[in-house]
Amino acid sequence: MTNKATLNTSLPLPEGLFKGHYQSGITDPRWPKEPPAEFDPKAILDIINERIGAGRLREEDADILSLEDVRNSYTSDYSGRISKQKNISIMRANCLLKKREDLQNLLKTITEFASEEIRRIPSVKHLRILEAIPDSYRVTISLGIGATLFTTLDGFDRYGISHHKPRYLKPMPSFLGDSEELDPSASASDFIFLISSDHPYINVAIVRFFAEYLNKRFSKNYGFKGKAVEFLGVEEGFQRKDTREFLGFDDGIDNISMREDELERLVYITQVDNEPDWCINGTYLVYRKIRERMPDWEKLTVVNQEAMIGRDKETGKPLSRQVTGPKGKTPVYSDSKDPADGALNSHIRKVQPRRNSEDLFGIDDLDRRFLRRPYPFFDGLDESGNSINGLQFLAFMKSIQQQFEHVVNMWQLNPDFPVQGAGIDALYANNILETLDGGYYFCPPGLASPKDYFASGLFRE
Amino acid sequence: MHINILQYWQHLQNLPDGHIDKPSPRICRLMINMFEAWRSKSPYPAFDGLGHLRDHKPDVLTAPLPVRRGHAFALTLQMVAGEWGQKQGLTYVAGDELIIGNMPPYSVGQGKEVLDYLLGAEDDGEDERLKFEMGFMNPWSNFGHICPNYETLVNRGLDSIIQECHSLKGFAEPDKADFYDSVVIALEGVKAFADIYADACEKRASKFTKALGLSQTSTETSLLKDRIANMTSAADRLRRIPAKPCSSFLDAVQAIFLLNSALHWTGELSSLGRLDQILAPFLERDNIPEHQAQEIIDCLWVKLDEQVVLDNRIVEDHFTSADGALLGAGGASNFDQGALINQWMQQITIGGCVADNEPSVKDASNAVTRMCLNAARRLPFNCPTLDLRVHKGTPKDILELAASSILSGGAHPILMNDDKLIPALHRAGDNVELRAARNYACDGCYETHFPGETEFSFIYVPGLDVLEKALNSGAGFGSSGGVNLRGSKGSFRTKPASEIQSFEEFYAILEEHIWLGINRTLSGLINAYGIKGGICPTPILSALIDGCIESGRDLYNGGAKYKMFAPLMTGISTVADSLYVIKNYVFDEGEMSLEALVAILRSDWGSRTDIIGQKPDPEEIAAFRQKCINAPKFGFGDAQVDQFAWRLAESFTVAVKKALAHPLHATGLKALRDKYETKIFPFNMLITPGVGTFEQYVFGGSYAGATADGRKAFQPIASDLAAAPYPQDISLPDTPPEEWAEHAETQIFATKERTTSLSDSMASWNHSSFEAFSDGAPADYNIPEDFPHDKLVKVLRRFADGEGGNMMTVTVANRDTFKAAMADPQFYDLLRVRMGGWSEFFSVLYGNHKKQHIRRPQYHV
Ligand code: HEM
Repeated sequence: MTNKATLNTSLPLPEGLFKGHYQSGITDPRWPKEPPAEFDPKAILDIINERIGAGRLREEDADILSLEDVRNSYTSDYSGRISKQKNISIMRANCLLKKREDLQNLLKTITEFASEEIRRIPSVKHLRILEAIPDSYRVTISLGIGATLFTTLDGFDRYGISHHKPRYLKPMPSFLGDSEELDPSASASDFIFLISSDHPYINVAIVRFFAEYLNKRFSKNYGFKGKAVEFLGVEEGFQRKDTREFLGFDDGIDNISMREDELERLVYITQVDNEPDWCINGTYLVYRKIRERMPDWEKLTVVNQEAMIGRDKETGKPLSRQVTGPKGKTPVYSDSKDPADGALNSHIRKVQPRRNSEDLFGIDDLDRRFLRRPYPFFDGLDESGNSINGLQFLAFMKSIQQQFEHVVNMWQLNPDFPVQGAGIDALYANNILETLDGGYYFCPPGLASPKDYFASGLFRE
Repeated sequence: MHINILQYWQHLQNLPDGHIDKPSPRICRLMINMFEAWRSKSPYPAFDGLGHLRDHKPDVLTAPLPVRRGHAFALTLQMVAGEWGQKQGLTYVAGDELIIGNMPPYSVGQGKEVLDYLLGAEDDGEDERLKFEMGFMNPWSNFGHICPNYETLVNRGLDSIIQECHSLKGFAEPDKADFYDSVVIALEGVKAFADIYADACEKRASKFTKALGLSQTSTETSLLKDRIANMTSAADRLRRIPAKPCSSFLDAVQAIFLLNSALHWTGELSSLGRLDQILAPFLERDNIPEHQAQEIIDCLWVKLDEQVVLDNRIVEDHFTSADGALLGAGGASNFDQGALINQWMQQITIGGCVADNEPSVKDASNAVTRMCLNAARRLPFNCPTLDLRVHKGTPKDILELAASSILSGGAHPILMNDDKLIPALHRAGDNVELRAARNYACDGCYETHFPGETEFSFIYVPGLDVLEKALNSGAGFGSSGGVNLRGSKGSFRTKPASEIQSFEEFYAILEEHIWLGINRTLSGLINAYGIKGGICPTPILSALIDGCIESGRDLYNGGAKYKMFAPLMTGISTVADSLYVIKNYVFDEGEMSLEALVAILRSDWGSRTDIIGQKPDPEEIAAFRQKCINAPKFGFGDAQVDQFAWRLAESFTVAVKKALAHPLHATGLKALRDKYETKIFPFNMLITPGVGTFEQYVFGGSYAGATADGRKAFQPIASDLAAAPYPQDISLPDTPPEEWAEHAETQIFATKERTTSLSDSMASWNHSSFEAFSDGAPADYNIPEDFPHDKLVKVLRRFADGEGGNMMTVTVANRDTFKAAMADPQFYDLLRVRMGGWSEFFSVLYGNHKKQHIRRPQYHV
């Protein structure tokens, strides 16, 4: 027990059921804007100095040398940002039911299941005396609905709900950089469950609970014979404490922070968006399972890697000449077409050009941002003995088309952006990345009351 | 050329600010939302979703049928714009829109929903439902296919028409009083429709106002402010128009769109007419900057395209047995629906000459003409179909804009030649005003009519049918064999092939069958005339067709000033190519007897053995077929074969004229004249022959047996008056088209293509006999993507100056682009093709349509 700071500053908890307008597990748990009461900059600085003293950390690597630095670090790394749980399990499923009322009942059962798991208090039974467990594993279970629930790929509206379809929900199309085996419409599913907690064992338990008992509970509750849901598999992801992912870079530096206005402006649907009323406070989810080819990446020099990402590997600072933000980690590009601020095909320049003027659509580049909630994954080895690892890229936004697709199609994978011949994102151009799987979903709003259930708005005529 | 949506956006992004091809941010936002919607299923009212009048207003069930129809229309509009429609996503308002309203998803192929008003077995009174269905008519039978008088709408407004109805009703006989009542009820319904949209705009404005308080960024604030202002002024506008006259350019576009949508929602798939002529005075008065006016036009384009479906797996079929029934056809109205997924009969006609009675011809093109051409070029849509009228005096820049638009890939505009069509239309009847002829516009496809004053219907006269009947003693080859022995009988039993001694004798027999066909058509028309008025009256459209209000008659009951009917011949190129074979290989060279040829055709080029008469030898058939396939074909500027098309056209149009004057029809025509002639308007029954399949080139061939040009039974024919496609049963080589000349089967075809330029080919259509096709006879061309702009402008100039036929359409796409699009439809989602007045996204076409486009000849520079 050496790290007093983590002991003193407890992790933020999920919003919990019926608390907010939004489903849990999307923009929560979240660090408060201002440091919590127990946040003690002095104690933190002491610990850092202790680490330096003990030779565990070189002074030049610790960019926190004063109380001011500690406070800036909170502003930069925590304030209003999500505090992702350590583990995620992604389950996809198709609905086998034929009738509208059955679908409605299924959604009630799913809600019942999710609520039970979210509310479950970690058991201290059988715990050995020197083991400590947290008061909460911060379980969130978020549900996303795929376009196929509204109309099957051949246009059949099984449940008479197609008129409620969120306007921009569709099966994920294919993109450059997709694996040859990926047929995105074939991997479209009716549901996606994002199950997150701070312990892999908890995730396993919940996944198993859903996979093995959801159908049984549904049958029992509603006297239904047969299977209501078919689960299509489970994907796993984990998180490192230093927020680095496999490529060795800090991922998430310029992720959007979650001040109220950004939630409404960039993540959740509001009443001014052109969406059916029931979608208000819901959000779209883009899921992409992206493989990272480590041998190819590790062959590159650090300078090359940095040129491909557009940031310094150690400090995470951008390669741009000017920077901004509390710790100078946000790039400023005086001219979006000038390579002096980092290669024009580097990842961060391709996915966010930060131009000063409005684009073709009269929209600011920064309004194309979305919330990334990614988790690295490891799927073992392939036939050649190479590790199958990468990123479970999960992103939430209020319009797939205005945000994710615009970023990918108009910038990242457009070889002529920002200038003719700039090339596509260097990570894809050099085959470091390859998309293996994914899908588009809509996450309905949060539960309004204990009587409410996921996507109940679909049945409000 | 725009081949896919993604590339289109990337292309726009790379254009410098202020570039003429770059639409405004508003248009881009509206467009991107629309493209998203194209990929998913459009909300559609359920079968009978609108219900029956007795569900909504049982008290009016005892009213006369026209009055019930008026109520049904008013209710429909109220339902779709109101909560019922909004909940289903059928109607909505978006903050960026300058033009408010929504088209229904009712494409010509997917069918429509109507609110039923007929009495059935469960009601007191006559079982109208049964009675009308017995004659293949029902509430879906409205034909659309015409333009309302939108000049009346924008200059007078609906209130003044309502007022006129009230005053005329005072002196009217009871059935006319019912008509006036129905018009008033329906037009009040349209006003309420506008009001509901005004409410929706106000609601959105107040939502945006609330959001303004929370908005953080300056872009967002200015966007919200723009939307608030926009929604507020849209609401004001809709409270004023279409009830009152329009006072601005935007008013006029809004009023026209709203009425267009109201007509379509009530099942009347009408068209828009000479938009540039209607709008130009408003633009002049408004004096708004050009980019602002262009944005309004672009908004209209977006509105007209909202219902596109890019995936033919997710379409609907709401068709009944009598949708858009063709007057006088006397059977179920099964169109080639699969080819009509994204077609709503929304034509906009521009250019041409001023509609007056003066001796001199004045060019009519104006700033709006150019804006429409800009919209067609820079917005990669398939709707509206833009029809550009040209003549000797058409300015050069108009042709340049037209060429740019064509080369951008949408196959817009179609070109039509005023100098040929106007005289033909002027001569179409005794009382056609020169002004009316000069005002012609396309009806919904390419067919000509006089907008705002015409009732219109067409009927097919299948060319292949008369050819078969001439060869096979009045029978077709489609069902030759076990079922119908020599074939299915349908015309005079003329001489058997073995007794026909010369080509001239054969041709005279063919003319006999044409003659019978025309007379049947005319008699069907005379007998059926006016019948729809008592079944599916159309009070909104009638209010906007000159003659109806004045005469107190519905459009479908003889109210319109002009009554125009177009017998349309199909398959002319296939018949011409076959006649070449018959004349040259049978009669002149004697390579095959006519009897043997008939046997071959009965056997469908050897595919059927179970036939009566001679049994041809398979090897001989194969060799002869190859020879026929390689024979000269119509459409390559080769008079040896083109002459047969010209002659056929002449036989057909002369027969039409002769039939009209035939004593057998005199009594029927007189009865109609007595019934419908008024003091103001003489009885004008205009018969305007034309050539057209539109999209029905697959359907048109689907019941016809084999033909002597090498085509197998049931295979498609050419679209409209185009050259015949290469046979579908012969696969095209996998090698690039430029290497086809190396393949024995495609050698001649490829060589013909290589050696005939687009302008050389025009000679095939350049014949006086085609000028009698007053309804139009489009030559549908395909050209490669690298066709130089200046060369295309030259071709268009030649067409405007009188070369070629009276209409031409140009699809731009290489053959390998089509092939690639078959393999990867998502990548080619903007590839569009045209046939006459109708165009479609290639990826949405069903298989044999796709095959047809690949097999159409490509014309080079
Ligand atoms: C395995 C796949 C990926 C890896 C390893 C990766 C890695 C990174 C890294 C290291 C950064 C810089 C730190 C930061 O600002 O967060 C970053 C930024 C970013 N990435 Fe990715 N990324 C991946 C895929 C994607 C994809 C598919 C998108 C989709 C468009 C995307 C969008 C972004 C955005 C928007 C930023 C922030 C840029 C800015 O605001 O300047 N990334 N990514």
